[in-house]
Parts: sequence; C-alpha cells; structure tokens
Amino acid sequence: MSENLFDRIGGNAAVDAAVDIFYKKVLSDDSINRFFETTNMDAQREKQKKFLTFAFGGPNDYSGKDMRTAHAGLDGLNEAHFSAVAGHLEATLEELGVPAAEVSEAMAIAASTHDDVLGL
Amino acid sequence: MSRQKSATDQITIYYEGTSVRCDPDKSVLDNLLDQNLDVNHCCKNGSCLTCLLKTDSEVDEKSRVPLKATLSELGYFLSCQQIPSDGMVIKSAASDDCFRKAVVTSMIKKSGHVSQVFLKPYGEFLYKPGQFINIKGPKDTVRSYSIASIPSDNVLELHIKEHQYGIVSPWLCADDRIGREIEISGPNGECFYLPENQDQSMLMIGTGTGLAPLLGIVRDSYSQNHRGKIELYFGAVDDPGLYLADQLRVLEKKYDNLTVHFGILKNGPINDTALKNHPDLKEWRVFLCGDPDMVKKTKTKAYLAGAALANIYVDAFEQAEINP
Repeated sequence: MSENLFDRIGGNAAVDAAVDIFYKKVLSDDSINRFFETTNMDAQREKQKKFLTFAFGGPNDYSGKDMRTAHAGLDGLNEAHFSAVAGHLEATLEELGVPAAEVSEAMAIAASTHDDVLGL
Repeated sequence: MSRQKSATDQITIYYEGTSVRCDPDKSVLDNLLDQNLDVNHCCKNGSCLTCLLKTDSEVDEKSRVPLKATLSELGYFLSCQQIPSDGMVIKSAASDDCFRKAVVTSMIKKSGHVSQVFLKPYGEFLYKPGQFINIKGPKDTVRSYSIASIPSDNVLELHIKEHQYGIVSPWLCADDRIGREIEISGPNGECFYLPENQDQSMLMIGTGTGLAPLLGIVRDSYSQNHRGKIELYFGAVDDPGLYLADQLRVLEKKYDNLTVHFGILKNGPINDTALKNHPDLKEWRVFLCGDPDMVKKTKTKAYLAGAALANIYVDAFEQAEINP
C-alpha cells in the first residue's frame, strides 16, 4: 500500500472537516464536556485537530508522553470517558463517509493511546 | 548552556536586580508574588495584560501572543503565562513604555452605580471601539476598561461600575477626578468590528458594563456602513443595572437594522433568551462581553448553534481579587 491512512482519508482537508463535527459532539456530550471546558476554545479546537491528525496516522507532534501529561490533571477521568470520546470519533468518521476499513484503522490508532490517556 | 539543578529542583531568576528562587511549576508572576514582590496583576489568565514584565530571555509564545508587536519587540511578556527559566533576567514594566497621560474631561452618573467617564488622551490615540485600555489608579493598581466611544467622538468613553471595595473604580468615579490627569495604556484586545462581510447578521450579548464595548462596536459598525442586522441583548441583575436603556432606545430609532433587547436576571439569563431567539447562528458574527462565566458558556453554545469560532468575539470582564 503506497498511501498511508491520512492521505487515503483526504489529508488536512479531511481533518478540518472532521474536527468541527468531532468537537461539537464532544461539547454536546454532558458525560464528558466538563473536561473540555476552557476559556480558550480556539486552542482546545487546535488540540482536537492534532489528535485527529494523530488518529489518521498523519504527520503530528504527539507522543505518548504528551498524551500522558495532557490528561494527568483531569480529575476522575475513566474508562467510560475514554469510550465516549472514541465513540464520537467513530461516529464522526462514519458521518463523513469514511469507508469501514479506514474507520477501523483510525480507531485502532486511537485505542493505542488508552493507557497513556488514563495514566495506566 | 549547561546548568545544574539544585536538589529541590529550584531555579533562580533575577527581578530588578534581586535574585528570586522559583518554583518551576508556577508562573513568573506567582513566584514574584510569593516573595512579596509588588507586581501589577489582575486576572491571571492572560486576558487583562496588566502583569506585563520585560526580559531579554526566551519566553513561550503564549506569553507574547496577546501583545502588540511593538510591545513584544521591546521584550514584554505576560508574567502570569510564563514559567520561569533558570537565570532569567526580568525588569518591571517601565512606565513610559506603556503608560501615557490623559485628562478626565467629564463624567455622567448613571443608575446601578455606573458612571460614563470621558477621557482625552494627550496626542494621537488610535483604537478600535470595543478594545480596552488599562488605567493606573492609586498605589499603582491597574485595571482594564473597555472603550464605548468611536474615534470621531474625539473623547474616550468608558463605563465604570463602582465597586464598594474596589481600588480603582471609586477613585476614578470621584467627582474631583474631572479635569485631572490619569495614566492609561493600550489599547489592547481583539473584540472589535472588522469591515468585511457587511451584510452579515450580528448577535451581541452584554451583561453589566459589558455593554460598553458593544456600544462602541455597534456605533463603529454603522460608521463603517454595516448593512446586516444587529440583535443586541443587554442584561443586568436588576432594572438600575440597565444603566443605558434610554440611550440604547434612541440608537435603536436611529438605525433601522438595530434591535435592542433588555433583560433582568429574574426573567432568566439574557444569554439564554438570546440563544432561544436565535437557535441557528450559522453565518452569524457573535460578540459576547461581560461576566466571564456568561461569556465562556455562551461561546460554547454559540459554537454549537453553528457560529464559526473565528466569528465569535469575546471580552470577558475578569474581576480582580477584592480584599474588603
């Protein structure tokens, strides 16, 4: 396979389309939106974009350590929250018509962050 | 550069020639305050720009982003946003770099302990209505106030709510302030009208003196021939808090596409009313000014209602800690 997932999905343009849908889903979900409350929504949205680029296997500056540090301060973050965010990612990709195989691929990348995000 | 960390992982910075041992996890500002050093500050979240200090050392981008290029160039940074680095040499904000003199020309007392205060800065003072200036009050205490006037007024208009235990507001609103000089800096802030997409509908929500920047923005947008409709929501705790209702009604008559809505708290938060009336904000430009909690919540709601983040302008009025 010559192209990676990021390019196959549509590169930066796909991330731009996805971040809007994804961020809105996250903010509308009362079970998790307290973690995303911030005075700087623009910065938060940029972070979502980085995360999506990462999930799409695209060029990014995310590392496991960053993931761990970034989530360390979030009080009460648990398995249910992780699943909720993963669910929104999956729904976002499906809404955008990303083929099932590519969705699974992105979900696998997202799942790889599990231990770092939950500090395990 | 190699540097050796002490056993406790502390680092040292130099402030006005004094060495200060720092907790590396706290901001430069908090470290200086912990040592009882007197540094101007107010909101501590990078909005008010009162905690400006100067350094030649490298600083993080977020400590400079809100500053004007001219101030960054001079080495200024926001001490509340910057983590100290070992060996950093910091100077206090030199007064003449930032502050200039203005004279208080007049004052109108309104209801709800609000005064309209008019200033005339010496020399040319360029600003966008809706931006804010900082005023230096007693004991070098600095507070931020938004600009309600437009440049053709030839005076700066501010709306000052007098706080019972405030330091700057009672001083500034005192009758004998008229005719006297004060020190101001700025303008700062990015909550103002840009003359593009002039048929765009605009939703404006202000609580308390959050009306001040909105008044400036409304008048500015009309002076720049904005054609789209403007829905202005002005909320206060009680009726006296709607301190500028009369003037707004006059403005509403003057401009066909302006509608002003008033709300007091017992009838529900004004932001809820506004979003109920305008559930679809796609393509809208949104301005939110006043209570930080209202601004934050409404920004999220406006975004979820379809407004693009780039189209949402905010001015959150962070309150200083008050020690009665």
